[in-house]
Amino acid sequence: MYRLNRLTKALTRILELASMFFGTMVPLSVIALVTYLLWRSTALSLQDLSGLLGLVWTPTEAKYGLVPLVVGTVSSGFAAVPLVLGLGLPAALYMGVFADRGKRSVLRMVMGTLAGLPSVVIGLFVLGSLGISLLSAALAIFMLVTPQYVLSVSGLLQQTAPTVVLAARALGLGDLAVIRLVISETLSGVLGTLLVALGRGFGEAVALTFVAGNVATLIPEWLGPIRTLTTTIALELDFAADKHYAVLHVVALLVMVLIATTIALGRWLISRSKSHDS
Amino acid sequence: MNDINVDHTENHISSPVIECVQLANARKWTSVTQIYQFIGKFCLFHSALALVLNLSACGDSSQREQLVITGASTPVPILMHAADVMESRNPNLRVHVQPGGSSKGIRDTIEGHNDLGAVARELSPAEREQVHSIPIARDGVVIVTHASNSLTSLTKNELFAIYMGEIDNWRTLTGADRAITLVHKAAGHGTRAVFSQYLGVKGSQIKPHVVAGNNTQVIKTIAASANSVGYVSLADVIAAVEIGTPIKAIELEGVAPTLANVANGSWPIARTLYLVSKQATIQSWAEAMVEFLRSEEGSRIIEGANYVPLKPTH
Repeated sequence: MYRLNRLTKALTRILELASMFFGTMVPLSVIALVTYLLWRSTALSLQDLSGLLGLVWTPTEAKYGLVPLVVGTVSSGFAAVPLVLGLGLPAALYMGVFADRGKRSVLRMVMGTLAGLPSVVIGLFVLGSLGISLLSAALAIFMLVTPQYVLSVSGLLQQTAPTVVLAARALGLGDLAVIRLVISETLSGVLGTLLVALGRGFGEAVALTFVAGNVATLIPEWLGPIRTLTTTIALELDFAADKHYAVLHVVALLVMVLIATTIALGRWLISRSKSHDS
Repeated sequence: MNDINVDHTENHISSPVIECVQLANARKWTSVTQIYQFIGKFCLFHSALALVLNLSACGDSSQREQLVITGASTPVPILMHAADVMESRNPNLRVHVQPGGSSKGIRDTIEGHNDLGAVARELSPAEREQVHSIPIARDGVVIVTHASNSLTSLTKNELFAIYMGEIDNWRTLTGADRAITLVHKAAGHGTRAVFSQYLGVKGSQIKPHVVAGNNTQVIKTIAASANSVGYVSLADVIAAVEIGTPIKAIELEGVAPTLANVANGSWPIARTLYLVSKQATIQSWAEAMVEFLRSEEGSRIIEGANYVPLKPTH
């Protein structure tokens, strides 16, 4: 019995070390990635770096202004927000608050499937149904991020809602008042989850190469093309050389920073909503 | 009475939620040991997997030989087919074909990342000094619209006006009052270089509505929007039309866009497809690939893929 105990302890220790090793691999690889991108970017002089603030992206003429690309990424992401909120939030409310167990598990399965759709499929679907424009790009991002958004928000609501609903029903309030109460209780979590979803949208490339039009535009129109940071990498990395190649690594770095900031902000909001509840 | 009603509603709404929470609680790991059991299984499985993968990889490198071709996406159908035939005759050979644009093909060749580069445009003088080029086939670049467009032919001047934005509506050409959606290819692609050269402009002078990455994407884009116009390899158009994609190729300067017209030299935007290598003497499998493509059998494969073979040299 004693030996068995020692064996278990030793085994536990080994597993502990192993899990620590694998656990640290992830942050280490992120650091390695950032270092690699920074190292690739050092090929640029200070003058080149200031050129990145330019308004024109024409690599064949050595004009590497990143502003239109940032505009494309941010505008397509934010254009998707009304869709995500308008359609995603009611779905999440239904799933998290009103649906019974059977319906909820069916919905969760459907949302899980949608969340797992490869983005090429979504890209081709949107291209076929809506053509090429900023609007299509927003629709593609909406389709990509909404299922996960609905799942996260409904989970959040499930944690908070029961007590609120109990109290509200006890006061004899109707559905609309219940919804208002539940949302106001979880508002920062709902918005935080939206930012996390938006961060994922900023990182999307494949679907957008099909539907965004990929023309660098400074002032996008709803029915005109845009070009995002990620699609630029996808379209140009293969043939880029020298300075252009280095600039694309700066673009990659920028995408990472943009996503990390958005998601960090979102997580902060979510954590605030949780501490608020308890 | 009222009280009972409220009570009832409460239960109805909240009981599934409570049950759910209870279920989740019941499923939670109750002890640390269980977590480690899980991690343990995970680690064992993955180390076993890694071991198997390593072993098979070792087997690969000791017995198999490989030929790596990167570059233009245009000749990929030819190269894939030729690779299949060569692999079936030499079981130890693996041919990797990776499309990514002509410029990448040349750069990879110069940097030694491949055995052969594929190029779908003429080489620049600077490129000619650094790599050795071997012509393998001829191809036409054709103008494509949606199948529903009533346009049947264009002159070079009209094409120029469309691509320079002087004609931006189909009205003057077909009578249909619809804005033209101009499709261009991303920089670095041979098709773009050949097309721009034909119009006598720089690729960056064209202000498109859509920039597409490869030939397939151009075709998908045009099939999806009724008012678009683009340019793409004739072979890709023939293949796409065969499977029912709603696009069509347009006559240019009164010449029909057919393989026969590319072969006899009357089609105005034709190009030679090349394989390039770092030196004139090349790796034996690369040599075998070039010889195969120049043989009678290779010519049939090239024709089958809707390109024009060069006459066999011997």
